[in-house]
Amino acid sequence: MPELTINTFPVNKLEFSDKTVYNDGCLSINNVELREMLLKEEGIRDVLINIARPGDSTRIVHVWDVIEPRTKTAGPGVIFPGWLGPPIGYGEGVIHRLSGMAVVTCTEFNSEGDKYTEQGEGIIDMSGPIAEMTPFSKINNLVIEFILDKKMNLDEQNKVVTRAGLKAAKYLADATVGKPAEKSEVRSIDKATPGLPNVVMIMVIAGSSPLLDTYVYGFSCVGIMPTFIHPNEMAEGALVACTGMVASPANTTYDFQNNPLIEKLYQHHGVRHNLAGVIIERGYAYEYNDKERLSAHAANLARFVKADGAIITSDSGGNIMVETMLACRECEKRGIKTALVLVEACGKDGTGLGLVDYVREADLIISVGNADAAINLPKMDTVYGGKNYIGTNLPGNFACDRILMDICGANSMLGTSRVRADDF
Amino acid sequence: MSKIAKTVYYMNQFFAGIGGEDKADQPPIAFEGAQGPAKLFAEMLGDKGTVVRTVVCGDNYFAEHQEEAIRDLLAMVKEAEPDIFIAGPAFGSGRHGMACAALSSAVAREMGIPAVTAMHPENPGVDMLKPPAYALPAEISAGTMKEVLTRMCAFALKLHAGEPIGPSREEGYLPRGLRLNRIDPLTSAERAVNLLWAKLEGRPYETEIPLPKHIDVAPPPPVEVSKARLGLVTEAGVVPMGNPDNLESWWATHWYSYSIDGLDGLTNETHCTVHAGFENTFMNEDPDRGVPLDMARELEKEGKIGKLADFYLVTTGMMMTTDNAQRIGREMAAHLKKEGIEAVILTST
Amino acid sequence: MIITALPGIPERIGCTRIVKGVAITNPVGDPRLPLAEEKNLRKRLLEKAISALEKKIDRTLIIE
Repeated sequence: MPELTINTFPVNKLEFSDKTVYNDGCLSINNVELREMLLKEEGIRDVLINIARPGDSTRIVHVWDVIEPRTKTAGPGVIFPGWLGPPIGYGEGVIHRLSGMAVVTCTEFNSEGDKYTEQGEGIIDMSGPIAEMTPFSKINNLVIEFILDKKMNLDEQNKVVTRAGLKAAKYLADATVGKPAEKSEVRSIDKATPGLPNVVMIMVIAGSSPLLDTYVYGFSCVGIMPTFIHPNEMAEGALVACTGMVASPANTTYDFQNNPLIEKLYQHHGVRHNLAGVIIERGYAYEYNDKERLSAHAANLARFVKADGAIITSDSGGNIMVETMLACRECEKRGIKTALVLVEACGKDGTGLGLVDYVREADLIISVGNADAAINLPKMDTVYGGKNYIGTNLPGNFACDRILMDICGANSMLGTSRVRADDF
Repeated sequence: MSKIAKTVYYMNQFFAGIGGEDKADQPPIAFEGAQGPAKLFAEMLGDKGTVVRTVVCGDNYFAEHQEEAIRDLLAMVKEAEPDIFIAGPAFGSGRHGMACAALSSAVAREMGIPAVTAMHPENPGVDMLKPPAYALPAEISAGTMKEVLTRMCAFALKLHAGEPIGPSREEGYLPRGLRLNRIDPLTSAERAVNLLWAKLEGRPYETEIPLPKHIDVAPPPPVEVSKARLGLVTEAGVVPMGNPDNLESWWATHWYSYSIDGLDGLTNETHCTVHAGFENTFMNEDPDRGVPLDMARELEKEGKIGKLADFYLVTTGMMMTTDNAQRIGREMAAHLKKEGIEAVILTST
Repeated sequence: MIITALPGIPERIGCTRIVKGVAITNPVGDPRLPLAEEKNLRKRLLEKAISALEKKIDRTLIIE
């Protein structure tokens, strides 16, 4: 497979200006121009743009997605294929990324009255005790709040916000075109070192309904069979998030782009192991037999690339854990040693049963924490992304008792956060 | 520099020197100062503490009169105004372990002082030990008394000094069914890859989430359904249209009873689901897909079901905490029993 | 007894009489079938449930 070059342009300062320019770690943004560009999108009635910096007394609410600005500067295809161009991915060429920052898209969806599709809260605190629990408090965030034309159905609403957020992300990254990168990396996993164990990653991803799904090249992943996806395709934006039900254990687009597990597996490729592939498996199938079918197929794909070991991750929580555990069982049955990375559901006080489901073979599970844990959000000076906590009249910057599940990224199963639950 | 730790120590009749199995019905009794292993414990405390009272109870007495035993022993403990409480070690002895665990938990909870006991990890007392009390692991046999007491003493003094206590695997106490979040120096990505390498390379590894114990329940006796009163219960969140009692869609803490008297089935005009954990369309089209009333009626008419209850019970199971689920189950069971229901079909999503 | 599409979960927490249901979205129904067939399926599931209640068992019974 041809190589992908990733050029990194770090951002340590974000500011508004009359011109969008990247210079020496500082990204100046013409927010008027950006807003006008986004207002041209069908279905968007208004756009509010703000900057939230690490350490600010700022809370971001109603978060839909977190996206790292990227653009493609050479090679076939586009960045975010399926959204900003045809859904044809290549995973080759040259892409630019603005590190140390993200576009955070926020909106309040108009629910269709069906309880199953009610939006949950998504919060990022940029300072205070909760900030250390989310990786997104440590980067500069461009917060874009969208006010939608509510006449669309839920599926259309979230596609509008998603597309707009990705457009904004590309718009910002385009400021780096022609500039010298601080870091340039050529990514390939073609050459394997004989004698090393082969490792795969099996990512079980949400595929259920308009607010609980994952976009694969712009299409919902409901109904797909497990398949290989190349890390370079993921770097280009092949996988885009679609979770508005729970925040902390849900995979964001940022997690797919900057997947710490893949990063670490990649770093040691050819050195301590060979990264033989990444498999995505859709979770939340309605029937048990279907769950078995999907997980067995994922294990068969792993075996096809001669995997000796597999890291298995999950998404959001609930009955997707059945697929995740079955993937573990089917891998172990095929002689593939597994390590799972899972969120726990131990209740507000930590005394509940943490695992929704388990199999005997799951003898190595890494914890990303108890998402149900009770937390107290302190009062902040500012709130962006929305006015009040979802479904309430309480202003979002006020103190509030909530649970960790509301905090974006706190229990990410793709490896970002350091939250972990332990026996006390 | 903490003040001197006044200790009250609990043990069974055997360790107190009162007698063996023949004295297992010894009622609660208090001795001033240290008895039995408390003497060795007092030596270990040195100038950091004293054992002011030893309280004792026979293992059988405690097991057969648990409430009164705890009440009486607690009074004896409180009277001595201790700073710390020690119990056991119970080693492999089940009745002694349960008494040590129950009493330590009560002392810790009601008096707010450090309470430390010790027993073998598979002692049935371990499941009865509740925070804020602690139990340290011990061997089966009492031959390791000195070693266990040394650890108990160090740990109790640490609690007394108000030092922060880390997770069980770092501090050496037995897990208490309490999982708390902490920030780890490494990300889960780093830990996952490191641990997978250990597994692949044949080195020892330890899971961060131990699997729960399989729960074994003795199957209740069968029921002759054609002669019985049968109840329908569901966690599918199926409620009368309009959700009159506002049953929660997730994190539910309530359950409700709704009449099915005279109904031959549920329809999309009379009922709906409010469950947020699955695609509702199919169940809303026909709520019998969640509560099978239509065919239950038919089986009742055919005589295969003796009599259907004239109500069904409902809650919403999504994100329900374990303690709420257990409480709701117990309350539903009590209600069903009161209504003379002998068997239940529970539908779950 | 319990009817559920995910029999493993109640089995692990001590339920002893379990009948495997159709799907998470419709444990005792199947929207893909014509109505008469679906009612038949529901009746059969209930009959399995009744047979589980009437059976003397000394360990967990799962009926598929």
